[in-house]
Amino acid sequence: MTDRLLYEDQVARVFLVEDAAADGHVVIQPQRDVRTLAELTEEQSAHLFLVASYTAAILFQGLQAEGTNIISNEEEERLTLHVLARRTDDGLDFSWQPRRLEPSEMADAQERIRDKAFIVGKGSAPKEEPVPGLAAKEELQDAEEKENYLIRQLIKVP
Amino acid sequence: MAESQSPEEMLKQQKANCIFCRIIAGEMESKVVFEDERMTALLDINPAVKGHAIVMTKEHYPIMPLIPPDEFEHLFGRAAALSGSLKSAMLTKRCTLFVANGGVAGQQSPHFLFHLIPRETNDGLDAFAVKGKGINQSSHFELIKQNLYAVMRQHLTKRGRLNLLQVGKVVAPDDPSPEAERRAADPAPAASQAPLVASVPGPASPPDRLPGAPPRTPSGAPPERHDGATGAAPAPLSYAQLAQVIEENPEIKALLINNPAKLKAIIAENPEFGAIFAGIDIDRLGATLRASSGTPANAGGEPPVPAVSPVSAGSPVSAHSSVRADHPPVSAPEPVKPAAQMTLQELFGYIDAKPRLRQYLLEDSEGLKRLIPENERLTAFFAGSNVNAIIQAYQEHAKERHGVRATVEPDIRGNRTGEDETDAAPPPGPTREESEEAYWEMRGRKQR
Repeated sequence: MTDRLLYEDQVARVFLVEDAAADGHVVIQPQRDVRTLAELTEEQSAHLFLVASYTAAILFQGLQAEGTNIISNEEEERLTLHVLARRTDDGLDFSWQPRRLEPSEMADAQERIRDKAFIVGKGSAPKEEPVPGLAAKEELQDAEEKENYLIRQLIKVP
Repeated sequence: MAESQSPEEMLKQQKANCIFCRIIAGEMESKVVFEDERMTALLDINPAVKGHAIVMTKEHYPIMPLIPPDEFEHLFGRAAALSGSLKSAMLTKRCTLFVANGGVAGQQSPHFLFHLIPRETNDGLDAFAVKGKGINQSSHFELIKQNLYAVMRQHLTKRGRLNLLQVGKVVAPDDPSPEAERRAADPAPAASQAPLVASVPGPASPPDRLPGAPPRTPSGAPPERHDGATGAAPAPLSYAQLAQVIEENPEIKALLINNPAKLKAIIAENPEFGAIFAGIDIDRLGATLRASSGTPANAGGEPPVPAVSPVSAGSPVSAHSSVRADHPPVSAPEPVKPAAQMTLQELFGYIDAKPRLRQYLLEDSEGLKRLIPENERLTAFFAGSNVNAIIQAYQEHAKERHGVRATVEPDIRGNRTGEDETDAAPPPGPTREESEEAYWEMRGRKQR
């Protein structure tokens, strides 16, 4: 499949999808060869979504769409944001079946994500003062991650 | 629904009923996983999987195009690291990011948000996969291409980042050759024509219509943008056009030559001027005009060069001598390669080899900034670059080389944040690993 280049700048490039999922299907990729969003800098991430937002607006107005979706699944070789024009009865459905999670599972997820996310943009200080850079090291390997997570849990036990 | 209500009233009412605004105000309980002064991320109460989070600005914006640029960049800038945190917390390799604009697309909340969903193989969430259905949309090519180029150019001009449009062979901003003109215009030869979609709501444009509301006709008054321009702003001028404008307006020319500071103030206050001078370095332009009109460099409001600057002490002081001493005093000096055309590594290498420039960058950045418009070579070197960014990057680079790393805040992956990631080659000096070793040694608690 050869997608045609619509736009590019130093951060992003935009293609019209040849085998489209909707009448109005455009993909945005970073110029950097990365597979996941987390590999981008803040500026690159912001810029990529800005391009996606403008693209969505153009599909919305230019193609008389009734709505738009922006989806990235991190499943392509290179990070890809799909921008799709949406219309009633277009046969697309991105809804999910909500899961029932026990309160304990929600609390567990909350704690785990909070533990990792506090350093995002030097966010609010954590309660148990992990050293800056520690979390970054932990990201290196999943195995190591699991281990460290468990150790951290142990440390919390008085 | 609301013929009688103004958009502001509608928004106010929507805000009052918004469940997320109440959560953010602390009136309702939620499972917050990340929060800063402008945004918040919480667990979805109807999750697709464990760890499914929704991320939103604290301020209420009903749709994506209504988010002002600063807020937008903040929200989606943080999305990168946040998705990394989510994956690392839930021990997954992938994360789906999902945005729904409009009810048809699945937007359920009147408070714009996006979903971050940790993904695993066979997690039963195939619904998010975007599968080709063989729809041919080649008829849309020109429409999307021309409009996207037009809105991006307009946006980048307003944000002073027009240089981002230079892809491949970098074009110097003031290269007057027809070749450069052609290359600069290449991405969309028709971009100078009026866009097919006169005003596209992008981030920072106001509600052309809310989800569910009927579309406004193109004849409606162009919405005023947050950043002051209206509708489709005039395309930014080329340097040649700008020169013509300046020649035709002696007042502007006089200000440029004699009092750039005042002109800048006028530009800041007046959006029309802002559009004309978007992306233009006023100081530099003034210097060029001064040079061409034979006016002495310090005729006007420009602060004079300090009599004894840290690097020129002892040498005769003229506007040019202090920095030009870097270069052999030959009649035909080697052409200056603009910093904008260098990779970060080249840039650092170049500066490392120029002790005076280096010292200026590290010790007297203000003095350097004053010198730039007065020195041709410096002017050429910094053309099209953000001087402050170079100063900051070089200072960080210098610190890093001395192993002082603690002042540089690591981002989520332990990299220094910044543009150096766009260059594959690492900067000279210690590698990241070495720097980290030094860092851990300094902290007195070496890992691994």
